[in-house]
Amino acid sequence: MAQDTDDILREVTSKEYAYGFVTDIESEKAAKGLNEDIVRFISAKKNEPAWMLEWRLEAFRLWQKMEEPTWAHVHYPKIDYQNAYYYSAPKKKPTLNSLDEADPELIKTFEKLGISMEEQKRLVGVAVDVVFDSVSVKTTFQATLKEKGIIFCSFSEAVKEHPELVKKYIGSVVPRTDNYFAALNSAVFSDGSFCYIPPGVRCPMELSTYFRINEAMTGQFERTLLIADEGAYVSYLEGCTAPIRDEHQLHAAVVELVALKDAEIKYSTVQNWYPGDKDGKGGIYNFVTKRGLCLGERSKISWTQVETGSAITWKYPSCVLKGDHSIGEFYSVAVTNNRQQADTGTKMVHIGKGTKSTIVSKGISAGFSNNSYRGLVKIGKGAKGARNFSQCDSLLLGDRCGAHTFPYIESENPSAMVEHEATTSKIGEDQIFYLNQRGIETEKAVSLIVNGYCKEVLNQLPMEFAVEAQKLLAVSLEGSVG
Amino acid sequence: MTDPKATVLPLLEGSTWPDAAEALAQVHALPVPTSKTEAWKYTRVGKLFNQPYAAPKGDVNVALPARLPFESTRVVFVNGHFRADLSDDLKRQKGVVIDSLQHHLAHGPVKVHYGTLAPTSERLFTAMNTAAPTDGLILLVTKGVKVERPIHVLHVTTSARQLVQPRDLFMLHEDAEAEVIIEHTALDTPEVFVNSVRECVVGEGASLTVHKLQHEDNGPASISFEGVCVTAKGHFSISTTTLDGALIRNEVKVSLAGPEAHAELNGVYLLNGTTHCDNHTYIGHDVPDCTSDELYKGIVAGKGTSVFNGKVYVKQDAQRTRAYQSNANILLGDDAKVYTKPELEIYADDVKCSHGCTIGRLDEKGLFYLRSRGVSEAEARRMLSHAFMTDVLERITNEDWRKHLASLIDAKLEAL
Repeated sequence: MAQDTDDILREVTSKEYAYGFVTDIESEKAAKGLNEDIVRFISAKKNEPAWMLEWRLEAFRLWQKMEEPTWAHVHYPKIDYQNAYYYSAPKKKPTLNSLDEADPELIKTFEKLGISMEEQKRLVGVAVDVVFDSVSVKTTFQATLKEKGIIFCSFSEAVKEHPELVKKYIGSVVPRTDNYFAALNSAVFSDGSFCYIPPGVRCPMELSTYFRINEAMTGQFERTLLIADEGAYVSYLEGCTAPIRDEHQLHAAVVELVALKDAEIKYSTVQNWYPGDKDGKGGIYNFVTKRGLCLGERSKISWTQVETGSAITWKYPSCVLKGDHSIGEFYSVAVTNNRQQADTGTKMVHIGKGTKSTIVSKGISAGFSNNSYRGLVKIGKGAKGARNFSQCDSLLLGDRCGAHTFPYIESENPSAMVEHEATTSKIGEDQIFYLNQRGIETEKAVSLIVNGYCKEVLNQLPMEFAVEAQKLLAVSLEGSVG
Repeated sequence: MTDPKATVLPLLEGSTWPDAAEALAQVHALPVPTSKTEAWKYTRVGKLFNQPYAAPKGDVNVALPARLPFESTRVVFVNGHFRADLSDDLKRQKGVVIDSLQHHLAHGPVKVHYGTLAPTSERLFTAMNTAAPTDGLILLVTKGVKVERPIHVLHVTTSARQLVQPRDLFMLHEDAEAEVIIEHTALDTPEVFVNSVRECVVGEGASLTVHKLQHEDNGPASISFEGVCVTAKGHFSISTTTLDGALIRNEVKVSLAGPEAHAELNGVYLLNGTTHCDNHTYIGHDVPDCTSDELYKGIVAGKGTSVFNGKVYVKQDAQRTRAYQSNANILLGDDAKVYTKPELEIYADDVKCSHGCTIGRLDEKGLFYLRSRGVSEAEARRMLSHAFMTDVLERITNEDWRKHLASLIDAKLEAL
């Protein structure tokens, strides 16, 4: 017999984060608080050239003049920016020749997460740039990539080795003045990934970065810059898990993508940061600015995200479709449970002629959570024959959660076609009954229906991620029968 | 910096209407919305405060337009002032009060309901209206009474640069029924600012149907607010047709406060010139088992701008809610603009809510089909445009009014 609905609900709502643990690694910290000296300290720690420091300082000054935005449909206590550490790095070790020399604690962490480097190294086709508390510890498969002329390294390395590329593109998609959190990130970003695919090269493997937030009370400020030159193709994966912490942790990353003529970038994210316990205590604040610029003709940027973690998610991966006939895509599954809050969506800004965009967003809310889709589709005056299709569906599991949709649609060109549709409903009792009748217990039935509901998005994920994402969905919602 | 409201403040002082003093204090406290005010993001109202206005005069001679081509009770307001001499006999039916609201301010039901559905605390324009209403219509229908003929409220604006603030209060008691046609018309009266507020209380099992027609050639800026409360099994329906105007903002806020209440909001707009039309709706599903249905459709030509912002709010425990919302636009002019924002905010789980919106052009295949059968291009476009509006028009149950509206729409389509 199927488990009683209430029992299942209780079990789920009391389910604590399975990946919570703390790795005890000595870390090097900057002093608490934020001022120009801290910015200088971070820059000095990374041996950055003067122009980079100047860029950071300017961002810091801009940030000081800005105000924290309040328009999102999320609520949280005011963040004290002076009561956080802005830099923490695993203590410097001599350069490693093999994995054996790496900190055994670190290796253990990855093993617990099921992404041990040993395994990752052997995993054909995946190069992992491991970001552990802000600093790249180990980069694999670099040689294979080098052959093709692909640059895939940590951001700080890129600042030193490829300053011309960094200088040219940093802040070109997300300017420092873009928003409060982007400015903050620009001032204090610790590290991140940098990737450049030369003209005509098809990246032979999925590039991926695992993010971890480890040190208590450490804000993590990643910065990713991805450039696909003319005719290049790259698929990039990003995934995250983080240990249990009582203190709220702020994560304000910036991701910039640039696609030149005929280039294609596929960016996939599976996000499973610590969402806080069942009473909403702790958890990560995920305030991320992600934006792609389709600069050249016929370029394409595709975002796929599966968001299950974080106490608060505030994230809008966007596409600026500047090149004629460029394409932007956004596929998203956002799951919220317990006291989680998510305000996520996308912006598609059509500037070039014949530009196309597709938005498919699936929100699932359970427990006491709130899940909002907020999106903008803007058709500029010159975007002749532009086309957009958006679909935003919400599924409600439980009568104490909320699902909201805030789409903004603006069209200034008569030849453009824009369609938007959204639905909100709960899982059909008839569907559950149908599956029960065929001997499938309620919990499995819900999982089946949810998976089917998300299929459109999950299908967009690369193989490696699709499996993980499905597992995550099952864990996040196990038994949430409304 | 001087307060931009200084241009209207002299006209708002010294009113004897209820709550006027508090409202005036609110006018002082509330800022003029800018494009940074979320609710006014796409509609700029700052320019309304750029010039001084005169107080509206009611005792002027006007040539009234022809009567509607069907039986109706006509009530005339000139520049916001009630004109008994131009109106029909308003006392022909027992149990129905149709009169100037100003004459009834001391009466029980007015005292109970006045101001309850149009709070002055947040919206500057509501505060302005409450501070000094010009006059308005009271409609009171007692228990079980069905108003025999549609009430035709005709608002005529005759001269330029005045601030008119109509204030209506409609109260339908249990099982009452009424249909009201509200027509705003003006001929070449630029820079008039019409700021109206209407409160509608729909009692248990009552049914109120409102048709709004806006055709104010080179006309006033029209900012309106309808606060509606529908109790159990009540039925409220409003259809707004916008054909001409300068700056138009239609706000409808419906609260479904009793089980099985139903609200239907329909809109048609045909914009050309520089007409800016903003339909702003809010439907609050406060209790279980209510339904709402919204359909707004329009064609935007020339330098017209259409804004649609619809919000459906489903309160916690408002189970078995059914809410539908749809907005479709056809853009014709190169300088035409459409901004649409259909929102859902839902805190109950057993709901079926959906919204959809589209922006596009006339169907090329349809045009080709008609052309291949010898229909001229202009005629084919008109046919398709008319067809596009049909599903909104079909929701209007009063057949006479529907036919009249269809002919007005066709005439406007000729002009596009």
